[in-house]
Amino acid sequence: MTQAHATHSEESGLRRTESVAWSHLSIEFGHLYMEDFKAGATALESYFDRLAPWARTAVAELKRLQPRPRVSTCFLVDDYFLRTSSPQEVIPAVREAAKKAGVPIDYLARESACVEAAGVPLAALVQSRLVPDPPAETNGSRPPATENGWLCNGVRSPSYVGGEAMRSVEAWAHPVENGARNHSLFLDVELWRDENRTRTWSCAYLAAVWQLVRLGLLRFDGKPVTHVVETAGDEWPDDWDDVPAVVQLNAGASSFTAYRTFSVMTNRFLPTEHAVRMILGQVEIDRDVLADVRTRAEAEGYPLPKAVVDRLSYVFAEGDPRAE
Amino acid sequence: MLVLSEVLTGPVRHSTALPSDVAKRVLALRLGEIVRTFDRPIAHAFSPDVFTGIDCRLVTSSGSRPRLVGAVCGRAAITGGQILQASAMVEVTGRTPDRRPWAYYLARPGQAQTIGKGKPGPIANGFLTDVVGAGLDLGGIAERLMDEVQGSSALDRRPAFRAARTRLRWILEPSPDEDDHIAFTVHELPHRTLRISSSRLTPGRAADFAADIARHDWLVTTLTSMVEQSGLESGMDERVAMRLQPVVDHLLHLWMPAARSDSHARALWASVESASGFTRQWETQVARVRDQLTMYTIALLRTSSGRAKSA
Repeated sequence: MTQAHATHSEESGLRRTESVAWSHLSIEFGHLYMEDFKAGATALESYFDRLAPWARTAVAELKRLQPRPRVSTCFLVDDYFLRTSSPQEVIPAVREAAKKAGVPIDYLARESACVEAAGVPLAALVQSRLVPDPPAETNGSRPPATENGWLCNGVRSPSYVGGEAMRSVEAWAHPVENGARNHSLFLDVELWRDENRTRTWSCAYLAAVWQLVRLGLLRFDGKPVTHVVETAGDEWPDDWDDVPAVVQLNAGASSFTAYRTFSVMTNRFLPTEHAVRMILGQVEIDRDVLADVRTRAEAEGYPLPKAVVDRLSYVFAEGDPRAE
Repeated sequence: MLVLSEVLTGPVRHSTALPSDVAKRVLALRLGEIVRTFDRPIAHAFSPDVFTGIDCRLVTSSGSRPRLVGAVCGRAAITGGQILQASAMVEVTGRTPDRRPWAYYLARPGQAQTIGKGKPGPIANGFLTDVVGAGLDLGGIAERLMDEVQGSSALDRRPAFRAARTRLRWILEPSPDEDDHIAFTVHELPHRTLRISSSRLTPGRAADFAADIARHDWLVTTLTSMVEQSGLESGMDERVAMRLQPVVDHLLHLWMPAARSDSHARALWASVESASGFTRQWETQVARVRDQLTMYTIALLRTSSGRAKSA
């Protein structure tokens, strides 16, 4: 007697996450503040001159593991906090300076686009994926002790309430870093501030979103969130809002998104990136996306560390354009 | 492998069965994540996973107090537009010599690891018998999730009937032999425990199975309690019929054990069924309600036709 085998499935019950193309490495030269562009072409060229050797070193290092490495370079313009220079002034100047230093920029992105890009609220998307680092004795009975707009890596000092009398009762207590090695290195980062019904995201928070964008790990309804727009020529609009979130400047460039990121920046961004790493350590990335990227990299003989934050490398160098 | 979980089951705080699009809205707990839905054989929708960090010492049956760190997976689901379930689940996967940076644990969402030794057996026993689940309050996490869903503005907060929440605490552990072993225990309301020993069942499948048990246990519990409170024991009248109305309107069609299950899960359900007699109890109660309502309707018809004749 034959048997009949039937299956039933419903499309609305499926969960799909689309994949993206990944380079091996995304090298960032950044960041610069708007006022830095006022320092002139020579300052900008010397800035890229200082950073270029580190980028070349990163590529040489990658070549030891990957004979045919796919590397793309990018540059993030801060158009979120200050807009004193127009795209027409900034983009050609950056392009030219980087080219002269021998490290042409493949992709240019806007910091505002880390808040929202093509209708996708990226900053809020990442916020909804924050899973705070639990201090010891967190057993689920109480909701995580969160401070609106702040994220830390441990237990905060208790705050003083009341006057002198209270103070003598409650002595100062130090904050504690979760999983500290002997001594705590406590970090409390402002993620956003709400004023006059407007939310302003912090530079550190947007820089964390930026790393996730470069790593190609964000999805909205299962779809990738970054849409690179290729542009020919060097004509730019007057308003940053009219510049796409990520612009491809170099037609032959490898993919914008990469398995690992390498950021060459000046020393002033060390605290920011410390905060970025702490934030990224508390962002939960979709399990399917995590598995997909690791499988793909593994298949190329380029295994990735499980924790996303471990795929980030840096060089912090001197060379702020306005340093005296 | 060891999976620890707690599932809460209760009625959606809404006056009617939720249409699929409303259920979807209510369960959209995370931006940019779709709510998955099924229409057959019964409407079922579930939220994207939401994670909560834990780092606590466990109470075990051996007296040791291993520390467990990881990200617990929470999920809410609505079945038949009426039954809301919220669950918190964590897979205990291994151990580390010390507390790792949080990024290590978030790279393994839904899993937790002990710091130093932690034997699965005593952890499982502690979890099933301790008041707050071996010191790990998965019920607390599930409860907040449930409250979040119940607080949705899409719900009118006028439940069609009153029913208690039930709490099923369950574990999945490897089987000592080739067979699957299942122990379902009904404790004092609202507590129930389920011990699944199976080397073939994945954590996801086990969770579906446990939710199915929880849902049907809740249906039996709620039906029994509504029949009791209706006053049916002391005879049928208009008030009793009114009290039983929600049973017919909202509960009877929700009985659908092992819906969307594969043959393995159906076999598991059958084994629980033979031990616990869920369906027998359900069918007996349903038949009683239906018979009484039918008799009452016939009596009413007689009375009204009698009146019509005499008029």
